[in-house]
Amino acid sequence: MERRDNENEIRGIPTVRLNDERTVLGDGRNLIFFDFDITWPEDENQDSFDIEAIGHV
Amino acid sequence: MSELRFNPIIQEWVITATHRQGRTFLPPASYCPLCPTAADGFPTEIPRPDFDIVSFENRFPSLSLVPSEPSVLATDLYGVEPSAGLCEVVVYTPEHSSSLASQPPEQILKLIHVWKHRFREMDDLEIVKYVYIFENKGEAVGVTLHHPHGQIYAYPFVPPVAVKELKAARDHFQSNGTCLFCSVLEAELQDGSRIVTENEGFVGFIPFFARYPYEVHIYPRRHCTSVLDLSQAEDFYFADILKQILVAFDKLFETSFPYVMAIHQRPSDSGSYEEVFHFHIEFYPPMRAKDRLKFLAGSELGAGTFINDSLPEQTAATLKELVEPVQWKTI
Repeated sequence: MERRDNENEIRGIPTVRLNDERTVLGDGRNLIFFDFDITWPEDENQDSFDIEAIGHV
Repeated sequence: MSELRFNPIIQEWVITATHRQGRTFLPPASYCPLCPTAADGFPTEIPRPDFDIVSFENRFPSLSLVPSEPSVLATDLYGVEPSAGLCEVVVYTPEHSSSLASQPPEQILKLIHVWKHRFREMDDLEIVKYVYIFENKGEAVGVTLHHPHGQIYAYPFVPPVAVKELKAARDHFQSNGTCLFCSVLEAELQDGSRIVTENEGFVGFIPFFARYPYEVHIYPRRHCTSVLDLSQAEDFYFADILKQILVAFDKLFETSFPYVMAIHQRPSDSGSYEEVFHFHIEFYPPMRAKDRLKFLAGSELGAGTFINDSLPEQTAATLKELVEPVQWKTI
């Protein structure tokens, strides 16, 4: 599904949830696997966001 | 063997890291250490057949949480310290033959969240005074592994570029009562001729004072000191503008464009930076034409004065023509 139309209008801001899974490699170094859940406003029946919230110079 | 040696003439630390001579150098794709470990393949750095994004401590670190004893003793003139700190590798994707530019914007958005995660954690370490997130891309800047990845260095001191920026920012704040970086952004927006692209949260431009022909800087419109300050909307616009710039870079000379991408953030040494420091990204691309590189030579290395054989107004206009809207799709 396209998230931007021909007029370059952004239709929503996704929410990202990051999950990390830590492990230790054989030589003792730390490694982290990341996976993510991305939720778009349309997925939650939202179709707008508050642009004022981000501020401007 | 690794240690910090202080140069008293220019008051900078140098990291010696002799073990890095033996690091993996441009291996064939079938022996890439940053690919997932296939069921019947050789063991790579990543012990799984698949992943999304992964970070791990560098096998050949310049800085380590458990540093070795220095090989030499300090003198009154020459300072020596253990090379304490942390060096991590962030692998952007399991796909070997790709790049950050070719990733969908959603993957860049995920990466921004990884940057936040790693910055937050390293920022909290007592020994760490500065967290530097960067990417070296392309053999032209000395890359030894082609698999798309970036790095994070957590230094036990504030490195000289940040020191210099902070001094200028403090001087400007004292004289004008405003953030230097906000002033630069305002000047660039007012002039307009060097703007490459902008969206609701960020502005990408080749600054008035660019040292490299295609030295794009990306600033958040809002005064933020690090990636941790970015809102959910700003994360999105950050990914959006990064994708725009990276794609335009690749279109410029119809090649996978080499660069150093440097994320400049406030130090992690508990100092007060709220008013003076403004997080931003700087790209240092070595290409000045399709078949020509800009080398750092006599004036740049010996005198510290860059010679840019192009005008930022012209290179920004060229790059601006190549910017295209980002197509966001659900995964």
